[in-house]
Order: sequence, then C-alpha cells, then structure tokens
Amino acid sequence: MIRTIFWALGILAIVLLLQTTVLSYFVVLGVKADILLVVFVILATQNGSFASQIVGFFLGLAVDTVTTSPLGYHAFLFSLAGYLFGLGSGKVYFDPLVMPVFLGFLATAFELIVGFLLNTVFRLGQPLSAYLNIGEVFQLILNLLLSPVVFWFFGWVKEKFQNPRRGFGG
Amino acid sequence: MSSAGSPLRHLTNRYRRGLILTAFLVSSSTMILFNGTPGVAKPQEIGLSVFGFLQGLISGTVHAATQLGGSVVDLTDLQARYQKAATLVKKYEGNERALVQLREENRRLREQLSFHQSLPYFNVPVEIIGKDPSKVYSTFVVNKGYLDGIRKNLPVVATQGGVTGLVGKVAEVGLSSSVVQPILDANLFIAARIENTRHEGLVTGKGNNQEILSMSYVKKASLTEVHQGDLVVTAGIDSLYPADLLIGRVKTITTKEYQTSLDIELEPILDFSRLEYLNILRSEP
Repeated sequence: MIRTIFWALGILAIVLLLQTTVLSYFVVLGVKADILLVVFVILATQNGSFASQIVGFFLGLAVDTVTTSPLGYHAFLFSLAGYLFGLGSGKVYFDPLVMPVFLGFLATAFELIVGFLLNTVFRLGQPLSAYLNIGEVFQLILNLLLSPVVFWFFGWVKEKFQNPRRGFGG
Repeated sequence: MSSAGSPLRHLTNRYRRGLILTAFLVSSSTMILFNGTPGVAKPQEIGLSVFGFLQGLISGTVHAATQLGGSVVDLTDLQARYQKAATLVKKYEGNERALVQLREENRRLREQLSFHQSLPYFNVPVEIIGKDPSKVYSTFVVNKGYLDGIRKNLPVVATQGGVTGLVGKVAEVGLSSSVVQPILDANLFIAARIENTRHEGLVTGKGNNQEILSMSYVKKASLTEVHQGDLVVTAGIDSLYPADLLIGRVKTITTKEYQTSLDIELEPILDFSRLEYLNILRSEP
C-alpha cells in the first residue's frame, strides 16, 4: 500500500512539474489539456479509494503551493476525486477507448462542479465566468482526446514494469 | 475473550476509508478558511521554494536544449548567409549594407536606453519558469525570489514590441522563485483611469486565462467621452502600482439604465500567452 502511494505520488509530482513547465506552452485554441487530472483519475481507478485519497490530498497541497489558490483548495478537490474515482477500482471493465473517455469527461466535470461549489461556499471570489465559458468546452474535448492515450501509456508501463513475463525458470 | 475497545476498533477498521477521507476534507476546509494567516501561509512558501527550484531546473534544461537546437539551426542558417554575404560583398563595393545595419542597431539601442532611463523604478528582470496548472487561477512562477530582493505585492511589468504594460503583482515569494498574479486574475483589482479623459475606474480580470479585462465604476457621465480603442492606465492611487502604466485598450462599452456607472471591457495591452521575460519594479536598488 505504502509503495503504491509513493509510486503514484512520484509519478504525479513529475507530471505536475512537466505540466507547469514544458507542457504549459502546448496551448490549443487558447486552452491546455489538464494532463495532471487525467493521470490522477486513471491512477485512482487502478489504485483504489484508500490509496488515492491520500495521494490526492498531498498532490492537492503540492498544486496549491504553485498557484495562488488558497491552501487546501486543490487538496480538497483531489482527495475527494481520489476517493470517488477509486471506488471504481476492480469493479469496472476498462476497455481501451470508451471507459477512459468517459472517465476524462467525469473528471473534468467533477473538477468544474466541485471547484465552483468550493468557490461559492468559501467565497473565494472567482466569478461564474471562470467556470462557465467556451474555454471549458475546448478543455473538455482535449481531456477526452487525451484520456485514452494516457490510459494506454500507463497500462503499458504497468505491464512492462510491474508484471514482467517470466520464463520456465520462474 | 474480547477487550472493551473491540467494537470501537471494529467500527474504525470498517469505516477507515471514510474516516480518513473525512479527516482530509475537514483539514482542507480548515486550511481554506484560515487562508492568508501566517501559520497557513508558511507551508505554501516552503512548498513554492521547493517546487520553484525544481521548475527552474526543468525549465532551464528545456531552455538549454531549445537553445542548442536553435544554435544548430542558426549555424546552418549562418553558413548559408555567409555564402550569400560573400557573393554580395563581391557584387557591391563599399559598406553601405553594414552602415544600414549599424544605423538600425544604433536606433534599437537608443530606444532601449531611453526605456531603461525612463523608468523611475529599479527593475529586476525575471524569467517565467512555470505556469499555473489549474484552470481557474492563472499565475506564473518566475525564477527570482526573496534572496534576489523580491517582496510580496511588488508590481510586475513587461515589454512587448516596444510597449511596456502592467502584468500584475507578486503574490507569493519563495527563496529563489515567486508567484506572479496577473491582471487576468479575477481576484486582482487595480485602480485605473482612461488615459485621455482621466476618468477613474476599477480593472479586474475575468479568471480562467481569458485575455479580457473588465473595468467598472466608471461614471456614466463619461459615456460620450470614452471611445473604443482608448488607452487605460494605472491611476497610481492605490500605492501598489506606479501611475500611468499601460493596462489595455477599451474594447466594448455597455451601459444599463438602472446603473450609475459604465461596464467597459478591455483588451490587455500585452499578449499574455507570449510572455517570457518580466520586470519586477522596486523603489529601492
């Protein structure tokens, strides 16, 4: 369990650093894909609720440090997402296309809705237009396109490194 | 034989997942509630110092790789230019071309020199090493921090195509990196005025990286005087930003019968998607 948490945190820290540096320059139609969210959700569906909520909390704190969002905003968002998306672990059949796209859709919608609720409840001062605009539609499409690729990549990594094929010698 | 604590332990084990989630959600909410208080702000500064350092490393590596690639391309390009220049040198007598280049370079240098001298503030040039990963907030991480004399709330400007405009302010300071809150952020308010009519108003962003600003509290009586394309500058009355820094141009003006002020949409003077280098202004060296 602890190993899973550290692995996931390591991977997500790298994705966070890449997203805030290299990938932040890949902007399509004025928006950038939320790779961090997609990777987090896909890892959550593989690692289960317990590990993912812990990973989500610490990842969220890390995100909060590199933004001006109030400390705890992303920690709340990601720990809840980790718990909810982790519930699907072992219960849902993951085909290579439809389920990742569906997850990408759910994750983007979840982030928007919970973000808006946090903004409203804690009076964080962001206007409604920050959550409801055409850019969100573009980002949703980008996330949907990206989800199967990320899912395939992590499936490949898992197969390559976690379950190496063994010969007759065991 | 069971101890008295067994049912409690059984319950705890059974609902362990939910209990941990609740603990996380409660602590996150508490942190949001007490946001800005010194005890909560400190971990954020420490985290920024660590992440800012790593971001600087990655950004620097990518920058170096890009420069290396660019240098190879430049070298090939230079070689071709050299051949061309050699042919030209043979073709033309005299140094007219060099003279034109020198004149142009001289003009640019004069322009830069006058810009530098015209700033009444000391400026610290910084490079953007990271951008906000979230959707709602639109901050930049820059490569200088507390050790370079950067402090919270210092104004940040940038120059694009010879025009210097306001970028935002320093929102958080780490040891060797800082977070810049741009004027596009919905939580940043700037006292501003229309440059030619001198009417005052309050400029704020619309969040979510939308490159559009909103100016409110401009008196309705100014409707006939304010026009599309008018420049908007900082008013200099909130002590954070120097006066007359360019912010944007008037894009649309709307007025409602029941309101006493105008709603003005501005187009920022700077293209925020192309920003690479910024200047943080300080009143002391």
